[in-house]
Amino acid sequence: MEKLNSLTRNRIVLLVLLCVLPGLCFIHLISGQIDISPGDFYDAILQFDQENVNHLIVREIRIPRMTMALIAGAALSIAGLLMQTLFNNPLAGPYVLGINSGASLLVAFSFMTGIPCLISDMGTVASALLGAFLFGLIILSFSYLVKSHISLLLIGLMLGSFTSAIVYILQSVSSAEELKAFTMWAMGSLQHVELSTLPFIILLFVIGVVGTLFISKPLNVLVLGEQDAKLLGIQLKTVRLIIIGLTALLTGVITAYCGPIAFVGLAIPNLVRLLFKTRDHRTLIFASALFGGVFLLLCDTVIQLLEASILIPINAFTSLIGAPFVVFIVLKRLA
Amino acid sequence: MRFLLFAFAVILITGCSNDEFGDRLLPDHDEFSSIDSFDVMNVEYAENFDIRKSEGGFTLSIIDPNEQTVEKEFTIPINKPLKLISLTSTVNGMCSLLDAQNAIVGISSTDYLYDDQLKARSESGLIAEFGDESNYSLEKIIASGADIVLYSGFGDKFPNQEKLEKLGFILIPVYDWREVHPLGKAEWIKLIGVLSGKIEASKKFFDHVVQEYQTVQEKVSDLNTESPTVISGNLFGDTWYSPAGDSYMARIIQDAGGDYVYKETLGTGSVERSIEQILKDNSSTEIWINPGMSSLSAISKVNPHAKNLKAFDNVYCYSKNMNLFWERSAAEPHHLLTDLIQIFHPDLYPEKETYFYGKVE
Repeated sequence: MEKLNSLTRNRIVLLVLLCVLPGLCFIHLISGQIDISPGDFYDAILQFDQENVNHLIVREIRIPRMTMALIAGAALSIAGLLMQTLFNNPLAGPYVLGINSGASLLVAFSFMTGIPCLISDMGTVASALLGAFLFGLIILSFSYLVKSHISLLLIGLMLGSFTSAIVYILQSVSSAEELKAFTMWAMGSLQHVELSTLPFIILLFVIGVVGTLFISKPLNVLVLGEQDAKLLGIQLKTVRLIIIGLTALLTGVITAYCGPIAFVGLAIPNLVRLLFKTRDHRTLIFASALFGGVFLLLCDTVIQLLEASILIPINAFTSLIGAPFVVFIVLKRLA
Repeated sequence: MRFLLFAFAVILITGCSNDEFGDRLLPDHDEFSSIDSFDVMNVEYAENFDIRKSEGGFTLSIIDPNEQTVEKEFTIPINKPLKLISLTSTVNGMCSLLDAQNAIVGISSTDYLYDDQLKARSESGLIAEFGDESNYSLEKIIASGADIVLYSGFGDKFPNQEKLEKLGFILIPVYDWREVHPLGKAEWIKLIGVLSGKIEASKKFFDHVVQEYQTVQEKVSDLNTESPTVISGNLFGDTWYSPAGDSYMARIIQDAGGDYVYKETLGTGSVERSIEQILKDNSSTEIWINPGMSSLSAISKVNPHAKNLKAFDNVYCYSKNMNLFWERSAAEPHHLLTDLIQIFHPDLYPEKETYFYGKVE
């Protein structure tokens, strides 16, 4: 009965959030510095005029920005959930474990080697995916050597420091333009994606989400521990590799287009677990995606509302909110 | 951020032999004997330094651009050749224009050198590399035997300032980049003239620049054609930085007959705008200068929305030779002004090649 109540409550929460989502999207769309009438929004979508600045702003900035907030929040939250389940560690996440750092490192190489195919958009995406996957494998290898959660987190942080040092050296030998391009990418932004690029990003995102839903049962079993998972016939090696691959895909594509965005992948899955009190990964995946998307959308809406007086980078804003929340999680675990 | 801006702006030293003015302006006698002529070398346009004759030499005052109070004051002797470490490109350029390359014993990096003579001296070991001012070797500076270190002053203090001053080094922030008037920026050559013993040459050079600048400016003021609208700057992160209405760049755009979009904004630094605001404000702006990138593909990489600006087909950058620009644009604002006039009013100099600027393709 209690389980049924919990299930119902979770469904109601998700349903409410789903109902609120279009309203939040609308608020985000109209929150920019430029006043745009509803008529302009309508025309921008259905009767687009290239010469009309308001139409341009709606199509090339507001819609891609809103979509990227939703996708990036959802993708990073799912990636964080995957990491936390894989390492059975609530403080794991693509940022903390160095997956983002891996993506950043290879993107830095792609920006600063001067090789044209690497500097292209596709080169950046491929570099981010490869870097995220390689560093996922590295952290997975370390997880076999160390059993302590804290040790693994420390190794993740060290990987981050190590890559930062290499990136710093690369920056010192790169040209001014390469340095500027990389610095701007590293600052993170939801605004640099164009409408024409969105379908490709959505495609990779959908592949990542569907792939994660496909392995929701093995994920449920992984939570029980390695021994139980083996007894229940789970191919641990294969599942772990798939998890790393999906995490790399979700993190890599977002990192490539928006730069590294901190704390979303760490904070949101924990928030979802606190609220939903379930181990069912279908629910957790869906809830993480929804909460992550809404969280980043809200963060970006606040940024838009403040734009007239202060321009805050998205990465700084998510850290401002995410870091205290992670401290809260740690204190809660110690209590 | 500050460091990055510093790194982009404060490129290292160099010099090339004095071309246009060398034979005509530079005296061949020892400049250290010309102190008497200093009576007529007033500081007219620059706001961030002052020079006074004092017993046995000159007193240089560096004015804090924020507080407008004297930040540092030094007495420079006239009877001793000084060895300079120059950590800003401007100083390298000014030394090369005064044919005073021999005074320089240290630079930040050879990568940004333009002047052939400085390059040659660097290759032969007469000039050492010290790295930028945020990351230099203290002991290397101490061992250099230099008297004076000239730096950009982007930070609050020069790193290890107290230690170096205790050891007898004179540290001079070169605030030319904070000057509002293009000729004020150029006037810093007088300070370099005092430090390098090229007093008379620096005075003559500056007078020549003033004359050239005013002559070129008059050409534009006689024009009856409409001024083209101009935007400057680019995105950094999600913020577009443009020169504020009272800044040096805004001033020189106006002097060149351009209608700068943000001319009404207040301040001498920069104004910050979101990309939405930029698109809205510049839907009909005709010319875009100083995007900080030398190709349209590089601009698109950091700013994918740039192609929605009408001015995307008309982008100009000081990309003919970046090192030349960083070394010489401060001391030779008349070249900068002429370049901008050629961009804004191409009919005025139909045959003339631009000096610093090129069209971004």
